[in-house]
Amino acid sequence: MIVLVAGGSGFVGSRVVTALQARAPGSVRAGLRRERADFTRLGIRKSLMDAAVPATLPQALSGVTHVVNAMMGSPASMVETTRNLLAAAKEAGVERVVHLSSTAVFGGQEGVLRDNSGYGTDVDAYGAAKIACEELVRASGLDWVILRPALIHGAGSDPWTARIGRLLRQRRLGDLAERGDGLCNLILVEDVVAAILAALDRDEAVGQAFNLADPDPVTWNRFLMDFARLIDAVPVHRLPGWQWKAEKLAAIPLKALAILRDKAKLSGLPVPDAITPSFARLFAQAVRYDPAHVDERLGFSRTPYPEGLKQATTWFASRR
Amino acid sequence: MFEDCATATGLGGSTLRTTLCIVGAGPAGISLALQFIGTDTDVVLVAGGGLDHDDRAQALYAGEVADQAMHSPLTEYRHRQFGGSSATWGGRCMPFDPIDFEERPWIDGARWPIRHEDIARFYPAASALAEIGDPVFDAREAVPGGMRAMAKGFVPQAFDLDRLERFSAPTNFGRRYGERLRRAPNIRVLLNAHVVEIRRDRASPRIGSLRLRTLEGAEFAVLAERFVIATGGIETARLLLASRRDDPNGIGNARDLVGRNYLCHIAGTMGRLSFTRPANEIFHGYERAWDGTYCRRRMALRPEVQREKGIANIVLRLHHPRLPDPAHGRGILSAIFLAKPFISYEYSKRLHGGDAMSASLALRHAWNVVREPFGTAGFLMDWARRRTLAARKFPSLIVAPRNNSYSLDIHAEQVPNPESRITLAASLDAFGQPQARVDWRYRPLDLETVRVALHVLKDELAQWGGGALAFDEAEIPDAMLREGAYGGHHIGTARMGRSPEEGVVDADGKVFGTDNLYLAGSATFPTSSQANPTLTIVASALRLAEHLQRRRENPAIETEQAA
Repeated sequence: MIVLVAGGSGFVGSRVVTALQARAPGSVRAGLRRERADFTRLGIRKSLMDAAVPATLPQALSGVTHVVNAMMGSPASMVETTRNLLAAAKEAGVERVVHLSSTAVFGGQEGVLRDNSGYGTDVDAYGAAKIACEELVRASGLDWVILRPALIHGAGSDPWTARIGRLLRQRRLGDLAERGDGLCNLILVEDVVAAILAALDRDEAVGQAFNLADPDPVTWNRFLMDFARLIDAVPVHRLPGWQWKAEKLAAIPLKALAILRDKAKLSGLPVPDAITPSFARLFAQAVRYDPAHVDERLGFSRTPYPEGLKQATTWFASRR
Repeated sequence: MFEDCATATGLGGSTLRTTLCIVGAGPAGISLALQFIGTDTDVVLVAGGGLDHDDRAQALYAGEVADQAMHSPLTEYRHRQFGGSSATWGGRCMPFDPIDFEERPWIDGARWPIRHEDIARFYPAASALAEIGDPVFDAREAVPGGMRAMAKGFVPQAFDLDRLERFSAPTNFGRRYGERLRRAPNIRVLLNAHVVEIRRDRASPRIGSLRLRTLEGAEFAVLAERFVIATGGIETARLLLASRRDDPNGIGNARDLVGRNYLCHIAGTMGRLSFTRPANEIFHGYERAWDGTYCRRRMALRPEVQREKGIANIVLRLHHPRLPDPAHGRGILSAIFLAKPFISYEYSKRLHGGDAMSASLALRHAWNVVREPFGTAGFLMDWARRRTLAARKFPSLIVAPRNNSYSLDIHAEQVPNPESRITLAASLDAFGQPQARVDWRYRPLDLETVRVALHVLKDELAQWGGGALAFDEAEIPDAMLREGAYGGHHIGTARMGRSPEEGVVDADGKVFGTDNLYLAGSATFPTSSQANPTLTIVASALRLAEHLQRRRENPAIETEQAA
């Protein structure tokens, strides 16, 4: 098995690369847009590629039997790069593609969702792009496995570990009372990697989509309070109604500022995180994912919630 | 889901059918209903009001008070709305003590048919619902390293100074849990629906239906397999007594027990505890647990002393000097005294007592404010930040006295008294239903408990030598009864008992002489404990939920009880 990890520099992709290298040295190729010195040190073979430029793909796919699509990007670019990658993989005679999607395809649905539950009708641009990508994968003519992680947290996760930690320290999140009764569907990044390896290995997984989440999720309030306690952001702040209103007002300018910063390539400039209405809505969304199908067909082991949170917060607290 | 009966069409003359009907949407009713989310039990939760306060609904609570000096008007301390009186509570929570459930031969009528453990195992879940953090009520364990000592070096034998009270946000159960109920497909919340009568099924032990009315003129019925009345100590008795179609004395009242043993607490502020130890060794304030909960120490009279002295349960707290006396010299205390007209009834009564304002008194208080302007302003800013603007509110006024001299805030059990009662008044409410009449009485033992506890504390302090307690015994009745029955703790009017001779409901909360009518909440408590009742109200509602679920799964439990 020779695996190309497209998006091999990313948060999940880089971990898949090192995991594959550790388990079978030489069996992995990191699909990168830019050089990465640490991979050289680890002896990882790199394939410079840019899926937005189809001409760069045949070289990267030569000799490859399995592809992991862990590329990230804007909604528009995501669909294009996935289409290009799938076409080139088919051309190159790749056996299997493991495609990373997201539970965002379910939108704001509540209740218990299964791996074959229908897409949401209220999805945002990101979710819509993920749906489009899934449809491309299903129609690709390749053997495929679709993995839909929920919120990926753990060491290295900015949105679901570092950002949460920052907002807790700033007392902008904490005890959300009735606004935090939704279920917090986390999956530790190491568990996502384990699921990807299982998807590469197990034939029963082919032609299946799997939702990756804690089968017994805690509420957002529980998660935020536990997190705050572990990073010593105590006493935990209970958010009053006026603070939510202020966050709502501040979200648009903060978001605009972050976009400007990214455009100006000033990534070091600290712009406070925005608590946008869609972010806030998540805290109240009560959805859980039935693990029966994934446990049967994929059978990867999940880190229990307390252990995962401990790892995530230890990483957060040790930064800087 | 929610349905507002005030605006619903086609309600008049209709009949709703359900499995479980819960009447009353306060902490008990809401906590109970929450336990059925996701089960196969269909629930109708009846709220005698809307989502917010409404004068017309609230007026249905009006009633008569035999002695107005002894009891507040019945429209105070209670809220007839979704969330019930949790719309106004202070949030103070602590469990009942094991001694409360023991046989205490020196207290007439102090007898529970259940043990402390039967309730205590529900305190963790009740603590979560009341949002008081971890169910830890020991000052040594509530915060890392333990809480600050109340008085460094003072280790009395008769009092436990490590007992804690923990404060809810305070959580309005309606706001906090309304959304969960609204989303639950098997829960139907009826707003602005007023139960006026409980009816038997053709004079059988089975309750068949409830008759409900709306202020808009509709009348309808709810049929259910089981009914729970969770409308508080006063309304529960009133509804049972007023349901006279099938039972001339009211449902469950064959032995004239409904409405009797109406208990509150014996509470007030008195005495002067002067410490000779440095002021920084005395601490009477709050500390916060990791989750943000405010915790405070209390002095609990140990059970062996209660037994030895033959008195009831009691706790004491260090308290700032009495507000109306300008001699305390604190600007902020005077400012609050002067602000009396702007403070809500419940709190103003507590803070000011019955003292009348005079021009010279006002002037002396104004002088206190003027001579301490920065202290007063700083306090108010702090108060705004930690209370007015905060979602988890700083629970009460904490001002250290200038001279290291405190008063004592006393909260004592009121012992059972069949003569203290709720009956039906001759006056009628908007539905033509009899209003409640309250005749609250206390017993000599109630004041004796306070007297003995003060003496025991005085002796302990003298032995220690770091402080001295001065009080005038003759002052006790006035200080403890300044407010009459204390606050909104309405307990005991449909007490739990081992037999119909002893109580209105059995150990499960089921009304004797019925198959399927249950009561939840403080009405069923045979004794009042030293503790504020809400936490135990929630815990007992959770216990009832467990029983009802078991009974549904295994109907044999029904016959077992009946036999």
